[in-house]
Amino acid sequence: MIEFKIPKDIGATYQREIARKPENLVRLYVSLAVAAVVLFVIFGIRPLAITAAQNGKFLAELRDIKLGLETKVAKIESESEKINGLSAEIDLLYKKLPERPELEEYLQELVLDAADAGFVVQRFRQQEGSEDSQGGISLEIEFTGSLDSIPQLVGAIENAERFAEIRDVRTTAREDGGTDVRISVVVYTL
Amino acid sequence: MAWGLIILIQLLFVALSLYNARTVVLTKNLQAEIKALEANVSSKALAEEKIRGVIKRTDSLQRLESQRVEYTPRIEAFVNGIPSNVFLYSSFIQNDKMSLTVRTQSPLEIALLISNYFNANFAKEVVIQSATLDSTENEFTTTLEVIF
Repeated sequence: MIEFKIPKDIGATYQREIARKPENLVRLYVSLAVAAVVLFVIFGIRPLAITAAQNGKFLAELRDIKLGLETKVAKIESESEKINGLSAEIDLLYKKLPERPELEEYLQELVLDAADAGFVVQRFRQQEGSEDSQGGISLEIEFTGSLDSIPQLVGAIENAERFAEIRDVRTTAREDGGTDVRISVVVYTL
Repeated sequence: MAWGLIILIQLLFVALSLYNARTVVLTKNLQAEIKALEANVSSKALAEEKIRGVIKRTDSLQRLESQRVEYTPRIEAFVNGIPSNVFLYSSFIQNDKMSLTVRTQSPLEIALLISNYFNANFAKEVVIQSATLDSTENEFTTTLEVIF
């Protein structure tokens, strides 16, 4: 007769496995929870934090731009007010340094000023290639009048509305007792 | 402990979301304000251009005036220094010097002319370049160079 000896602890391994099952489940759930938290931090909070930081920078730049524009507007307004109060002086400034040569107007003014000083304008000539880098135009003007009145003539040119720089003055006595005066002048445009 | 961490992370997420939402709203408001300010600046572009023009002109004029040599006082001294019996034949006046040719009956009048120029502080140096006598008319022709 064959006798089967059944060990007394035949179910112990199985029972140990059974006993471990809940513990394994807990480990699994905990691992899944940790993985979920890590994924949430990586794909949820991190991009959100980066966006928040970038938005903050953008906002700060926009505030700077706004401040700059406000300062600019305030400055323009204050300067505009000042300029409006100085319109007469500004007109004079534009006459002194006009944008275009406006030689015709200058000649008209000069003829009148010369006549006041007792001189007659004989010739008015723009020297060739006379425009320099500073916007200066060289002119040569010939007058006839009396020697004693030359200071008055020169003063009229230097104090005219249009800014003019005298380069040289030539005088030659005439047979009739008068004087020919030739003045080289530079007028400027801007 | 674990629940505390999870709640903390959730709170952080909510806080960041709220901050972002607020930033977006503020950005939109600021963009609208900047747009309005830019429109304001553009409308004042003409005034700005005028201001720039005035400043540029003023600077240029000041620079030119500082560089300009005034001829009026110099010409006054030149004309006033010529004695009545000296005949000025020609002159050429420049920034730093002038030359003149005069006719006189006597060399003493030339001396008077030179003396006048020195007394008026008009000349630093006077050079007699030539002096000729026309014996038929007993007339001296003298060419002088005056250095200012």
